[in-house]
Amino acid sequence: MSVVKMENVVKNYKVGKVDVPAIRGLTLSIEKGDFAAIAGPSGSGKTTMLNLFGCLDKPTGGKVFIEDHDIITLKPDQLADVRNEHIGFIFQSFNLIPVLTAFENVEFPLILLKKDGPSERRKKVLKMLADVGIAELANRLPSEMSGGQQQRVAIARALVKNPDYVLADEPTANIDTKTGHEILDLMQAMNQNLGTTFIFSTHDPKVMEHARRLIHIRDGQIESDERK
Amino acid sequence: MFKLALRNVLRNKRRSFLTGLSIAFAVMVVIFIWTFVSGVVTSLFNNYVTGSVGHIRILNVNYLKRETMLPLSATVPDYQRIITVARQNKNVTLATGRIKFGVLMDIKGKNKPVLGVGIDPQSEETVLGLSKKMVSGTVLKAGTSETVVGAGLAKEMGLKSGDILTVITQTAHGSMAGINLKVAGIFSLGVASIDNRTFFLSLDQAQQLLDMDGRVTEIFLLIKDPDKAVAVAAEIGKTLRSGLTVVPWQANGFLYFMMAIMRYIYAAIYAFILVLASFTILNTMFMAVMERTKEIGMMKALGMKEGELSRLIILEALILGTLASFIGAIGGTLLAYYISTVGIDYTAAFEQIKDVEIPLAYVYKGEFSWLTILTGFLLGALLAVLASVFPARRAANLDAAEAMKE
Repeated sequence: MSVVKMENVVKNYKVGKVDVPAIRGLTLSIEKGDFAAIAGPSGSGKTTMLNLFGCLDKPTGGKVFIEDHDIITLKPDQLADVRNEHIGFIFQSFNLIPVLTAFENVEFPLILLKKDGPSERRKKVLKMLADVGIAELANRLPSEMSGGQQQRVAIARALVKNPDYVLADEPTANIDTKTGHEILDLMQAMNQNLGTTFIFSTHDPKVMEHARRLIHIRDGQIESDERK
Repeated sequence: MFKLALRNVLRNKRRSFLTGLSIAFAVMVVIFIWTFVSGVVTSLFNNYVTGSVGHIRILNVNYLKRETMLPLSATVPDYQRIITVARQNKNVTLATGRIKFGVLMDIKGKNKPVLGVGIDPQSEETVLGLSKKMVSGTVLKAGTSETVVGAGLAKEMGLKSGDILTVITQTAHGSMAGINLKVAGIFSLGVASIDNRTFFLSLDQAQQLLDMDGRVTEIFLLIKDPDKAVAVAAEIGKTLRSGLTVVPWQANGFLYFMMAIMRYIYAAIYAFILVLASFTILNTMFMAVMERTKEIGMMKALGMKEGELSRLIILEALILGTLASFIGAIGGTLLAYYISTVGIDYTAAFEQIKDVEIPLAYVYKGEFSWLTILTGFLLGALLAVLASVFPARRAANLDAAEAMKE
């Protein structure tokens, strides 16, 4: 079963008066439970692809389906709802809210979701923090944590609302290799234990080794798509 | 969400502090000036009303044309009947006759024009309140050949209670007449133009002196609501015979200007000060949005809606603006309390300008009003919110993907 699907997607960016193609006719389906790496050199269209998967951008042509809904017709607030309910995000530079503690950062998407009451949110957040192994850091601010710890908070934040899939844009780019492996191991564990679908971009061969599905793209097109 | 907004306000403490300070200061200044100006305006209005124009006056048509000359040839006859008629109007709270006449006093070889005013001491007590304004001696009593003299005038003429004041003047028919008045007391209304030039005597004595039996130069009225003076004057005018005219206080151009226009001018000044202060909010919120571009992009990516984002930014401005306005209002309240109890004493300044025509008081006090303070506070908070709308829209409209690239 696919969680998100692209059909003949084209994405052009306007640079001055010229249309610069970033994605040129891409068809791809991400299946439930995938642990997929999107690999390719910089400028190959990785980030654009993730933005399309994340409903942060709309395609110039073609269709993007999330749970069989074409997102191209949706209005900004509806897209926000889709992101909120279906998609988790992990960013390269962690992007935590600096004035909120680890606990509050993880709680933030649940507050936006408006589904759970305070006690239920608290239960979910504490469990999530324990799952990513930083239960004891719940009351720390991002500035009081290491990069690896911050990225664990970010993973907890992405997973706490139990999304259909999690997008991670070069999740290990800003941390040292050892911590990077720990983070990837954690993501893998989450994928296996909770069944969460992960899509992450990377250009690091060592990171690609962790992936069970490896999609190489070049010049906005799929070069190879292999499962291990 | 409130917690997040509050912490965002505290994120850059020095900037928030300076922004808050400018708003607090503006609110404080506005409350202070407002209180003081209201006090000055009210004081001037009351002085004008009680000392000369009343809320409404009934005059001889010809008197009005030459009022500065105080012509005794154009007076109001049969005044007691007119007072009775005027009192029948349910808006009228007081009606009393006055005779104003000019006297040249010989002071140390120099002539000084002085104003004699014949009054009904009993009725005037509610207008002038002379019993509370006596510096020495006793109040004026009807039917006696006594006088009470303004403190400035008494000082200049070397008069004390018990002295005799000789008044020589022209009667209504142009002949000369004189009277010796015993100084019963010295009064000070706290208004330079009255205290320096006026003596009061009983109305019946003035009528006798000036040969004006049954006549007065004006009938002085107070009404319930001074703002309705024009309408009430018109009503009373219908009941009078020709030759008389009914003049509401608004007919005094200077006073009307002051009451009607000056308040608006000052209101514009208050608004201007507060708008200037709110520009600091505009600037601060813009900087906050710019600095947090990436963070705002991330929040949108997490599913925060445009409306929720603008509300967050506006809430931050509201917290800052409300807190700052509140502090400003406390400062303003203290200043307003000071200015309305102690006031500013202009006695020294008025020593230089003794003969001004405007009834300026020696000491000006503010008019303390919680409404003024509340309005100042609310305006401060409201403008802070208004100033944040534009930055908030900017934050809401940021493109999430673009914002996160930075």
